[in-house]
Amino acid sequence: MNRPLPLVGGARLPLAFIAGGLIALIVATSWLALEPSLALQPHLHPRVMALAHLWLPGFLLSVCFGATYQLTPVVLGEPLAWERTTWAHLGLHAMGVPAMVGGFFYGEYHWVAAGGTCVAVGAWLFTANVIVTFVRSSRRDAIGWSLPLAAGWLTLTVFAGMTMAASRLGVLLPLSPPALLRAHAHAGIAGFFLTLIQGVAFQLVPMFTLGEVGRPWRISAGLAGSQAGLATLIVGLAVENAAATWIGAALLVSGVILSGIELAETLRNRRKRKLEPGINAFVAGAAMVGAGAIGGVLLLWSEPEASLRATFAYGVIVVAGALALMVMGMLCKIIPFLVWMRAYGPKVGRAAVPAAHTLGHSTWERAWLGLHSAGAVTLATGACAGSLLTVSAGAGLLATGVIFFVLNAVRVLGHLRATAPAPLFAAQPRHS
Amino acid sequence: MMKTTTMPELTPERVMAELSAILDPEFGLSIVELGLIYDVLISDAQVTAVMTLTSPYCPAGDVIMDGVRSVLERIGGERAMDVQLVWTPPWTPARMTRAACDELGWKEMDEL
Repeated sequence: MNRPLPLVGGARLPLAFIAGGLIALIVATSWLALEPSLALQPHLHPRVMALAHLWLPGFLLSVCFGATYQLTPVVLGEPLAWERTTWAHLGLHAMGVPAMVGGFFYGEYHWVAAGGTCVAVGAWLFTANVIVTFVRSSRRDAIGWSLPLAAGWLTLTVFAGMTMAASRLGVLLPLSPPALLRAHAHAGIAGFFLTLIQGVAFQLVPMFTLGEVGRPWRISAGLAGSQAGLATLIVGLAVENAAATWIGAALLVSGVILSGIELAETLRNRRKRKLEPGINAFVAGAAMVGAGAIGGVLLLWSEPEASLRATFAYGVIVVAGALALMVMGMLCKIIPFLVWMRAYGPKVGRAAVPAAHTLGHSTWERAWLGLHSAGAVTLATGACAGSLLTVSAGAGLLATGVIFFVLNAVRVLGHLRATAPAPLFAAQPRHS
Repeated sequence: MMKTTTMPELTPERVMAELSAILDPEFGLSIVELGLIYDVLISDAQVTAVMTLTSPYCPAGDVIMDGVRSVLERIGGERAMDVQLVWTPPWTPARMTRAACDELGWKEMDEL
């Protein structure tokens, strides 16, 4: 790579995906705070499915689409293959998610199928864009590979989801719907999100902390282990083969442990000693990945007697705990950066501009982090114990934390309307 | 009598001082303190800044380089200006000033 690449869509596209994701997050956490008993329902309950799709394709996937469109050219050193299709993708996703969530909520599976089709077409456009960009680039390390691999898992996830929607509409399947649901969930959560994080984290964390990756082989081995594990696990879950499920889970956990060791090492070597709340949130989320992995293995061990409550708690730890903390932690860095690039980037060298990290309010970020972490743990504990009081407290903490997060994001986004900063230098005459 | 104003003489030190007003957006530190400006070359016809970035994948690289160009255009008078982006030698944290290390809370600079 000879010179830096400009922002995708002038930062508007990533910010639009992120804004859509934050709207879904507000709705999801408010809904759970108003109806905490959902956390005590079976995970196949239509309203629970609606809530899960608000969290996953609604919030987390939207944010990851926006961030990945921005990061792919940066990581691969190659412009996106097709920038125009990203806007079509945004439109499809913005139409598809509400239809899908509404369809689950009202038990209208035709809506789910229609919304799911929009989301799926968008996801395939995303996958094609990422894979073609990867093929055109020359980067072939684990960080580069994580992008097409994650996109590939996403394609499999939406295919499994569409297959389940078809079964609801009367199409006969050779696989049992609960087994397919487990495969769908793990392909999405571990396949897409975890794969993406296992690669991109080693691009972002060293960049934000001036850390150094000590042993790149650990990143490669971690990614390879988790990919082999995922492939085996998902086949095992789909065909209900215990041996394949166990082997897959063991490989996946091994890969995650290797990545976790290298992440800890990278952070230990960092030159920027003072960690901001966003990076602390990412680290807390990574720790919850470990808790989620232990929970998943325990569930596997106790099958088929595992209670539905424990399954819900596992989902809360993985989605609202691990993934949300890691993704929102990175958003604490990404949103100010994108806003800074749009609002102040063109003024660099001409006027006094603030640093990106000063656009937000670190006290609000810390408040969010504390409330969100406590909320996720309390919610999972309450779901496991079957306590309405505890899940209510957890949902309330989570929603309050999200208020702080969103207020901070709005404050940062407000800089897009910033007035002209003071000139950096007094106008000076040319040679007289 | 016509009043005339003269520009201060253009020296590498002055160029560095002017460039030090450009901050890295992530760390809030001057690009000079971060050690991103490797050299400044001044002739009667041209002023050139030789610089690098903390990483070839730095997403703010374009903006920082445009900022350097703006500064050179403003202080270079009628000279042509050029910004050369180089990757050799690669940037390492050892290029930061002591003040920059202190700002980041990094106390082990002498180990490098």
